Amino acid sequence: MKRLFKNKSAMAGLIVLVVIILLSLLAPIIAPYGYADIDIPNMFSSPSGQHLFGTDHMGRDIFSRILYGGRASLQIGILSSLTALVGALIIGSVAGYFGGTTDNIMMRILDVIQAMPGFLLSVTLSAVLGNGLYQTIVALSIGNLATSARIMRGSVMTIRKSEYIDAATADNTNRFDIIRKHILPNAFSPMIVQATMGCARAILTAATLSFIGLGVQPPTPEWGAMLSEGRSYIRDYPYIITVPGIAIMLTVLALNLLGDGLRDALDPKQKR
Amino acid sequence: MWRYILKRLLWMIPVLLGVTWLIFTLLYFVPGDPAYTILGPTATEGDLQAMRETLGLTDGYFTRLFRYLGDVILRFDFGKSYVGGTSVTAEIMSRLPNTLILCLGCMLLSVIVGIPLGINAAVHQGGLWDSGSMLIALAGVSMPPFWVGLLLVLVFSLRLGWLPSVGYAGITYFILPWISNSFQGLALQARQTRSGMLEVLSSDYITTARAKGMSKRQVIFGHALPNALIPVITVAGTSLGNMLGGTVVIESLFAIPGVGSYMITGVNGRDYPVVMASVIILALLFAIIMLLVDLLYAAVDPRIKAQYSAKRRVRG
Repeated sequence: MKRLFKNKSAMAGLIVLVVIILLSLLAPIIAPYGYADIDIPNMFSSPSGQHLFGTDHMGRDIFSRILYGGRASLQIGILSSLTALVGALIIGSVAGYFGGTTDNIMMRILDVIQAMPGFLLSVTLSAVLGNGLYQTIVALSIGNLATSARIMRGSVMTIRKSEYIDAATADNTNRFDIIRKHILPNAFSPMIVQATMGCARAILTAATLSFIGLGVQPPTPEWGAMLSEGRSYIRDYPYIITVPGIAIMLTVLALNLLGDGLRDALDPKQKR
Repeated sequence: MWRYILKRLLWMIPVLLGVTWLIFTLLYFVPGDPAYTILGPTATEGDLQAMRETLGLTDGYFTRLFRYLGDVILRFDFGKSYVGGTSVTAEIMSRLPNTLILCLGCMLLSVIVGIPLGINAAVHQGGLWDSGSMLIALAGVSMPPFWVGLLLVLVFSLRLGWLPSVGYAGITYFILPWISNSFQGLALQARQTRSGMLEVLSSDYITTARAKGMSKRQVIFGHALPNALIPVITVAGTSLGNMLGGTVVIESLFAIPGVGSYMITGVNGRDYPVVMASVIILALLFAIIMLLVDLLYAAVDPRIKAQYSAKRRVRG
């Protein structure tokens, strides 16, 4: 933990992330305009005192849309990676601990899921589940879950062979208690790194999905959707696509830095 | 060695069958009536029912599954599009070359630029090359490929007019798509190559080689790189998978008629034969790439070679 706090870039990432989360949470209070307030006479106005980032093709204030868009993106990222984390912890520990046929069946299912390139899986799931915020969250959790579960299973299988597990088994401890009290706490750290990186990936995938018309639908603002809408106007009004893109980049960057820092802090091989 | 290749090739078959099954099952449960999509709101119930029977929608799950598998595997027939009734197979075959050009170009670009960048950064650790390229790499990993595409179009097509932004009438039309799609993979490749190299460079045998008086170039390319190659290839493999997904969006963005943009048209138009066919072809492409990566592993990692030659020795 201390190593994490000493890591300057990870801390920078954490601070940026906290700021972004706060801004999104406070969006209804800070945003000068509603995200759907159409104001046609004022469309395409440049960044100014009245409209911090200008207005889009419908006269909507871009700054407010960015703030509200953050809520959608962050919700998707955080909820889908948390769901994947919980799922991976359960599946991974059951498969890793019980081994044998249970493990085999679960791994075959994961194999089929992982045989499809991640984004394609998300698109197909999106097509099946439909568009919308919560459907997107479910669609994105599944891909994430597959990789994380496999990693968890690996850790569990390694830990299972440790001596303190033998001791607990000899002590007649209930199997689920062993998983809960001994295996989970020790396999947890790589999972946290996975969850952070998964959150970053989820936000990128969600933006990409909205860009092609799936995922979050208008009028709910989402950074990827804003890029898609602004696409036709970039010749004369480039700020329409620069701002949402920078928002995506900053958030993902912050998460990546944090994830990198976590990985370095938890890596036993570090010689620092 | 050949047994390894054969084993991997055979493994592809159940994987592809599994993926086809997965896609079929997922799309089987999508709500909506294709007959209605094709005939429109003016159709009577009788017409709709007749259409459903023609399309084979009235049969049960397993009948439809095996019929589809049979069509695809035995006759390479992916069915007819719900929009316009055109042959999906023909359309995909005509679009496949574009997708391949895009895909292979991006793969090559990310490997050819990414790996040397990573090696350079590792060798000059702490210097300007290192911080500079890693900063760019960090940004690259965080930027969505379609945004990179939009920015490139803004600068190079609209402002400078150097490169075309839509269409596919020649190599220049692929340059911006290649750069946009490979940027993320390139960045990742550079980062991972650098960390792999750093880990190897701190090993004892490198110190020994240096102490022996080997030139820097010999040490890097003769000892460090071969050992760092295994994690590098691993990462190359995973990022190629991401790149395939990115191809779908980039094709859409730059209006390149490929399998990816076909898939998106299909998804948006609820045209399921098109979606199934595109996803299966792309998954096949992915499986082939993964196979090549695994073969590369076998060529590079002496432990795998040993596994297979040792068996022969033990038997004989």
